[in-house]
This record gives sequence, structure tokens and C-alpha cells, in this order.
Amino acid sequence: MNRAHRRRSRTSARPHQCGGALRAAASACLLLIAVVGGLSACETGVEPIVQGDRYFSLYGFLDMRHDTQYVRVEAVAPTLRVTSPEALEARVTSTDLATGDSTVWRDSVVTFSDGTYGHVFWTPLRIIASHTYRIEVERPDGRRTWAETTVPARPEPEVQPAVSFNDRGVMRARQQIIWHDVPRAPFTTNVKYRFFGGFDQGFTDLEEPPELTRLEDDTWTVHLNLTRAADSLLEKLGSPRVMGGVSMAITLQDAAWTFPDGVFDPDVLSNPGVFSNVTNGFGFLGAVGSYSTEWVLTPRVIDAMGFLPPDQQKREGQAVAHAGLQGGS
Amino acid sequence: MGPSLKRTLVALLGCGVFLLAGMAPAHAQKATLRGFVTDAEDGQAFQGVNVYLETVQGELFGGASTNVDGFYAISRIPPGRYVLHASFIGYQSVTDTLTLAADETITRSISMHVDASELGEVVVESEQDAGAATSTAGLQVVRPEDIARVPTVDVSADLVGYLQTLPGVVSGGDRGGQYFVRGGTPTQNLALLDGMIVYQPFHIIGFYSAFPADIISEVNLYAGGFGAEYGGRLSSVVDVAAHEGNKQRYAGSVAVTPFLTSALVEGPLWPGRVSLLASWRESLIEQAGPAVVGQELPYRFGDRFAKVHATVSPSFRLSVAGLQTHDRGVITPGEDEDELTVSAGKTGEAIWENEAYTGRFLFLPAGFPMLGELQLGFARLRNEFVSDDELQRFSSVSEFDARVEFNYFLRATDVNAGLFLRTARLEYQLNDLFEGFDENDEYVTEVGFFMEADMRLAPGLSVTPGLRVQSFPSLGRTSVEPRARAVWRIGGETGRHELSAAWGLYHQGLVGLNDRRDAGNVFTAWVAPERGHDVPSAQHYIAGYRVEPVRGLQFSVEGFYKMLGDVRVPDWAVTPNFQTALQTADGTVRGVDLRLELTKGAFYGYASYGYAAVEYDAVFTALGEAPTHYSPPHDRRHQVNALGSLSVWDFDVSLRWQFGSGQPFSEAMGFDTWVPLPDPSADVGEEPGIRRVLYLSPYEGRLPTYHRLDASLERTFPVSRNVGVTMQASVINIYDRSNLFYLDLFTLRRVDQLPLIPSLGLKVAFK
Repeated sequence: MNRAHRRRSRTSARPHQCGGALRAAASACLLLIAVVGGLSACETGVEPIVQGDRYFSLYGFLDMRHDTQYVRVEAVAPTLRVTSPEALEARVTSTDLATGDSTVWRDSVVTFSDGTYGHVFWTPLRIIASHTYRIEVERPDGRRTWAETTVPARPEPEVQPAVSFNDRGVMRARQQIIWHDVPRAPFTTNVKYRFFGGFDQGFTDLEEPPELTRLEDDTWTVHLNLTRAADSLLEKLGSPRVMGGVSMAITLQDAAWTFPDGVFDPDVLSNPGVFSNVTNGFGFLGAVGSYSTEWVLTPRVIDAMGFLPPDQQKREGQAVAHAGLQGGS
Repeated sequence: MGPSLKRTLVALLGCGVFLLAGMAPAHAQKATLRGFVTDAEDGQAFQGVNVYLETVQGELFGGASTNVDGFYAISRIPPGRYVLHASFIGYQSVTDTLTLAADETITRSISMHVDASELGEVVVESEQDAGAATSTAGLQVVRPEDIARVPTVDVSADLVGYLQTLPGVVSGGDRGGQYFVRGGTPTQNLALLDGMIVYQPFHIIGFYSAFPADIISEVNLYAGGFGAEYGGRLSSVVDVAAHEGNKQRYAGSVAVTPFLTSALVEGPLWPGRVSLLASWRESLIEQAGPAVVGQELPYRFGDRFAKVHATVSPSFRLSVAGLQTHDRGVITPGEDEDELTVSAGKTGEAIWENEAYTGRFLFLPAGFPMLGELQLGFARLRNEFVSDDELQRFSSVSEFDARVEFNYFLRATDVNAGLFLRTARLEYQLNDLFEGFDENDEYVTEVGFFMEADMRLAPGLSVTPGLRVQSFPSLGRTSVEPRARAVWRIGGETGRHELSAAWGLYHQGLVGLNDRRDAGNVFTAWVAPERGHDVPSAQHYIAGYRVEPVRGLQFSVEGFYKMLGDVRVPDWAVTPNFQTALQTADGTVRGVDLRLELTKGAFYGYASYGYAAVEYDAVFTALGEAPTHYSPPHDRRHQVNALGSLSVWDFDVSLRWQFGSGQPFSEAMGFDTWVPLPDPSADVGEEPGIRRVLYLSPYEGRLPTYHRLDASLERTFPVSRNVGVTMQASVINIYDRSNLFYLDLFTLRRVDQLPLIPSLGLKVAFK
């Protein structure tokens, strides 16, 4: 339609050159056919899934707080979707490497809230402080995925004497509990106060959170503001009771349970290989230790808190006269 | 406006004033000859005509070659009598005797007539500035006859078929309309049709673009190193000039193939002065696809183009043009239309529509050796993604352009300078597709100017330094972009050896966001980069050598190196997230193109090899603070193209084979469920977890190679003196190779490119 096309049509009107052109074209075609013939046999398939030596994903932690342990196990799958609770051909065992005791775990299929399925293996087991446990997941062909975790060691508590003092006419009481050999921040720190004479005529434990914790290397100091705790406890109890003692528990995670940069960021942690201690597989196996200590407060401190010391239990009915912290006492 | 911008503007203004001040006395006492050359047969602009002056004693004074508008100018002519010659092979030479006075500017337009005595003797190798192997510092000039040689499914050729034969141009596949040039992404390419910006110039089926060959006069394809007149993109420029339409008589054609039906008409609205060119194409593939290919092809597309060109006076030309395109289809059709694929944008219908309109005025100011050009334009792209008949997200960019440009002609230097203003309205509602870009409606204005001087320093040696300054006042961003190109044809204009080089700095103020991890996801949102982020930038370095050892044989080699900065890439994720976070990446592209072109009588052969290595460095959130070094999914390292065509016994036979090495993808070890364990309160029996892909390192695998053989056979039967019928038979993918188009790692679903496609086309043309 345009000039360029017209020029092209004129260039083709040279019959005396067709012989040479045909030979050139034939040569080019032969070369092309040879190349194409060689390449047409090339592989067209693609294998996006590279078989490796990773067999299972393993998630969970051994927990000293419980007498039954659970881990979630899943075979590394060739498809994204899990459409049915297919049987998992895996044998899960745990071994206490300190004692050599071995336990075979039992499978259970769990339906989650989103409708998906998972295999949660479980076994009755009480774990022991400082012991290292290995959990192995073994395929029928003997290929194994495993992970080890060491239960946090028992820390040493040092209960400082409680002190009571007069603060501008108001009696106050404080106490410090120092935990040694705790390399990381405890997951939980709970303090309970025991009182005699509950609803069941036995005793009542009331929990009040500690106010402050502070790290000094692997030493943690827990500050108990007994005065403030007393206010709260009195409000819950309604009337002064006989205080039996105080207990404190801390829950510790094992050393491997540490996130990059100290932040739980799913975008980062979900990347395969990040935050994983599983060999020949993926996932994470942790351990939780739970430790506690108990002590009694001196009558002076209990009195300063507005409660009745145990030796005054018989005089419980008179305790109302001592309610509140009176200045100058 | 910051102090640095003020200093830059003042400095450039000073340079401009100095340059123009220098021009005026140089021009004094000298005459200028200029004008337009047209083809007498159709009244259209005639490009490539050699216009030169001789003294009456027969000494050559100087000359020029007409540009795409048919314009020529010869400046700094001493007063006296001269003989004007205009010649083009196959046309009668025009000779005219002129007397030029001091300070005189004469406009002399020329009409060229076909020389009937030379019919059959024309050789195309005289046109050394065009052809597949004639790449000069990143620039390749493409003519319609080059496009027509490539076998396609259509009896009418399309520019996209030719682009696919070029080394360094990587197609995203035979659907989706995504093209990558020398490592750049599709939104880093600038496509212009008669100066109109076409944001998404390629149709959803990869055999078609918005540029049918029948409307094309010339294409300047810059694979890099483009000059100061172009800006706003990092990678390449496809500058298409439509021809003007026949000013003498009506002509046209109607064509039909299983894929497309088309019609074209051109003719004089005012004989000799005003012409109309109109083209219309509409797809048939949705209806014919199942019968031809044996599978559903749910695609619809089409385009309409019209252009009115007027020769208002010898010194004033006007053209008005408009383009509309529409595309819609499911890029990766399949049975897996479940929640996962839909929410990730993998299943659904992609829709886009282009609109572009322009008015272009060419004028020759009286008394100045200058060509002036004023262009006003409007361009719009609307991009939608629809699933279950509901609009999931959309993006729209509407842009108004104004540009004034002057070409000042000196004896050995042409100065081209211009000012431009663009205001774009960016609307998008992305439904959380990209993190940080959800919903917006903003106006962004860009102003700037450019200047470049094409200096012919010696016979065959030209150097073109240039500078472009563009500023986004509302965003507080200004970029200063020096450019330079140099071409040295050793031995003068007729020399056989040519060296060329180009260098330039480029910035992209508006960014097209697309999730490049997924070939099936073509939705693109045009946005202004976030405040506080640098705009993407690139530096191009190009050096090339071209030789014509014997007539009809050309060989060229061109090396290139690009440095990329602050390009937007999708963040790395192992879960099938709907939302894609974006990161910035720096990178490099290095490569080399080899081209060999042979014209021997009725045979034409072309072979090319392209090597390109694209490498990015980006910090991915999931992989830590250290940058990840990787090759993005469009890194096709090796490309081979071979094309042969033969005209024999009135048949045109074309054969084309293309090969591409595998592109990167991320291999995986499998899938599992990631169970978050933030602390000992977690319960593995309650927490469902998140399904994820267990990737190996990003993009370290390679997909299978791609190759395909296409052929076409065509013959035109004259029905009468003015009517011809062209029949074409073609086969695409002759050996029916299963070339991979798309692999969804989350579902392992594979979508192949189109299988063997036989096609018959019929075209009736009248003139």
C-alpha cells in the first residue's frame, strides 16, 4: 500500500538471479533443518521440585509444664494443597540422650479451624532439666529427619529478705528474688501468695505479677512491691487472712528459641532455613523448663502488708483491728 | 525549585542563548534552501531522498537527506547560482537552477516521479540506513518491507513480528503483550506512534501490536542509548511514524484470517492537499481458536487508527491522528479457579484499553533556517483485572502532552531543541495488591527541555551531544540527563566500515508496577514513586561495529552495558500472599548482539545472536539484610534468530526460526506448612499454620529452552489493474514444540505457549 511495499515488489522482478538465490535459500534451509532437527529433541519438561534430603517438617516443643508432649509432623509434599488427611508414613520416636530412654510417639490427625489437616504426634513424657532429647521422624525406607533440644537447666533462686520500712508515715514492704543461671529473659514470671482459710477451708493462692525484672548478664532480679500486692490482694480477699507464704515460678525457653534480631517476624521466619534446628527437614523443636521456689515472709512483713502471720491464725478474728498499714508501727 | 535546579536551568539557558547568539551572525550573509519532498504518485512525504546543490560549474556544494516528514534543509550557502538535484533510486531525478541571495531563505518543495525505465533494476541494498543488520549505537531503523519478511499468522504484517526477530528483545510469551528490551522491563519501554505515547502497545496475543505494518512509514527502534529528545523511560524507545495516506487517489484493503479481520482505507479528502488514513482490526481468535488450535483461546482485542494529514501551505503541514486499542482475556486459563489462584491474581480476566490522540504542526518560520514543530497530545491507558465478573483492581493513567521543538540547520550541525510539558492523572485502586500502594488519584506534572546538536565533524563522522532536563515540581524531583551519540563511517558516507557508540543517563519519573515473578500476571499499575525513594535510573553504554564486506552482505556487532538503579522489584515471599511488597534493586545488564544479513537477488537471509545477562541486587525481607544477587525472570541469556525469505515464481516464501535459552525461575524442594511458634503459649494442635513453598535460592533454576519454526507462503493475484488478491498460508510452530509460557510454582500448573497453528489468510487490496 505504501511506497516501501512498491519498492520491494520491484526488487523481486529479477528472474536471472533466481538460480543463485534458490541455491542460497536451499543451503540456508538445509542448515536450518539440521539445527532444528538437533534441537527438536530437546527436553521440554521442567521439574520445579528438586528432590533433596529434606523429608519432614517438624514443629513443636517439649514442655516441662505438661506430662504429655506434642509435635506436629508433616512430610515435605510435592503439592501445595493438602486436600485430605492422608496417612503419614512416619515413625516418630524420642530419645533422652542422657539416659538412653526411647519412646515411640503416637499419631493423631487434627482438623484445624481453617479446615486443613495435620498430624500431631504425642506421648506421655515428663522431661528433665538439662537433658537433651532427640526426636526422630523416620520414613519406611529408613530416611530420617531429626532435631534435638536441650531442656533449660534449673536456675538457682536467691530469695532476699523482705524489708519493711516507714515511708512518710506509711508502712511499705519490698523483696527481691534473684535468679542465677538464666541466660535469657524468662517467658513467664509468676508470683503467688498463699492464704489459709479459703472456700474449701484449705488454702487460697492468689497471683500478682511482679513489677519489675532486670537483666544483669545471666542474672535476673525480680522486684516484689509487697505493699502494692497487698492492696490488690486485700481487694480480692475482702478481709485480711492468714498468709502462709509466697511462691514464684519462671518459665524458660531453650537457647535455640531465639529469633533473628530478637523479633518474631513471620515474613522472615517463614523462610525455609531461617529459625530452624531440624536436620534433613524443616521446622523447629524447642524445649520449655518451668521452675519455682517458695518462701515465707516474716511476721513483721506480713503484718506490714496487713495480713496475719501463721502463728496468729488463732487470733484471725481479731485481725480486723490490724487492717491497713499504719504509720509508726 | 532547589538551588541546584536553579543553577542548572540558568546554566542551560545561558548555553542556549550563547548557541543561538552564535548562530545568528554565522547565518548572516548566507542563504538557506529547504523544503519538503513528496512522492508524486501518492503525494506522501518521501524519506531518504538525496537533495544536494552544485555550483553552476559542477562543483558539489553540499546536501541533505530527507527525513521521515520528507523535509530537507541546506544551510550556510554563499549567495550565487546553484543547481539543485534531488534523486532516489527508481525515481526521476529532479534538477532545478536557483539563484540564492544573501540572507535569503528559500522554501523549495519537490515532487518525485517514478522512473518507469528503471523498473526491475532497483536494488534495495542502496538503503544502508535500514535493514536488520544496520544497528547503529542501539538504533535500528525498520521499514515496512523488513516487517513483511517475517512469517506470521496474518496476511498483513505487524511490527511485533519483526521485533521478535531482534536480538535483545525478549517476549514474555505468545500472550500477555509483554516485551523486554536488553534487560529492561516492559514498563521501561517508550512506545510512540506519531508522537503519541502508547502505554501498552502490544496486544494480548503476541502476534499483534497496535502497529500494523500497513500504516507504518518508518520505525526507529532504540534498544538503548537514545537521544535527548526521548525521556521518561529507562530501557528502549519504539518510535513509529505512520505514513500520511494517499493524497492522489483512494486505496485500501480488507483482510481476514482465523485470528483477525482488518480493513484499511486511505485517500484524498482534498486531492493533493489533505489525506486520510484509517485502519481497523478486530480479533476473531475467540471464535476461530478452538477450530484452528484445538483449544479455547478466550481473547479479544482490536485497534483503530486514523490520521488526517494536510499540506496547508508549502511552509505549514498539519496532521491529526488517533489510536484506540482494546484487549481482554484470561492470560492463564485453566481449571484451577479456586480461591488460592483467584486471590493471588492468577486466574481472572485482564483488560486494558489505550487511547491516544495527537495534533502535530510542522512549520517553516520565514527567514530562519529552521523547522518548527508543535505537538499536542493526549494518551490514556486503563488496566483492569476482573474475577467472577467483579472488578478486583484497576489502574488508569491519563496524560496530556505539549511539546514545541525547533530544528536549526547549520552547515555541518543540526541543532534540535525543545520544551515539553506533561500532566498525568494517575488513578488506581489495587485492593492491597502492592504494599504501600492501595488507592490513589493524583496529578503529576512534568516539565523540561532538551537540546542536542548533530555535528558532522568530518566526512562520515558525526557526534551528537545532548542534554535533557526534566522536573516534577509537585514531587520535588529534577533530573539532568546528559546524552551522547557518535557514528564514524570510515572512509566517508560510502565507507564499508562503521563504528558507533552511545552513552546516556536516564530516569523514569512514572513507574509501572507489575509482579514480575508471575508471567501470567500482566496487571500493571502506573504510579509516581513514593516520596523519599529515588526514582529508577539507568546509564547506557553502547559500542558497535558494522561492515559490508561485499555488496548485499552486512555484519554488525554491538556490545552494551547498562547500570540500573532503584528499579522496583517484588519482594521475596515463600507463601502465596495476595499482597506483594516491593523492594528496590540495583543491577546491571551486559551483552552483545551479532547480526548477519544477506540480500542476494530474490533471496533475503538474516541471522542474529544475542547474549544478555541481567543481574539484580536487592534486599529481600525474608532473606536478611544482605543483598541477594540474582537474575530476574526475564533474563534470557542466549537468543538466536534465523530468517529467510525467497521470492520465486511470484510466490513469497518465508521461514523463520527462533531460539531462546531458558529463563530463571525458583526451584523448590517441595511444600510444607509453616507453624508459627512465637513462644511457649503456642499450641501445635490448634494453630493451622501457613502453607509455603520450600524454595531453593531465588531464581537459580532455568526453565527449558524455547524454540519455534514458522513458515509462510504468499502470492498476490492481480484481479484487475487496480485490484489484487493476496493469499497466504502460514504455519506457526511447525514442529509443535511445547514451549513453556507459565509455570505456577504454588500450584505446579503449567501453561504452554500456543501449539502448531495453521492459518490461511486472504487480503483484497485496491489502489
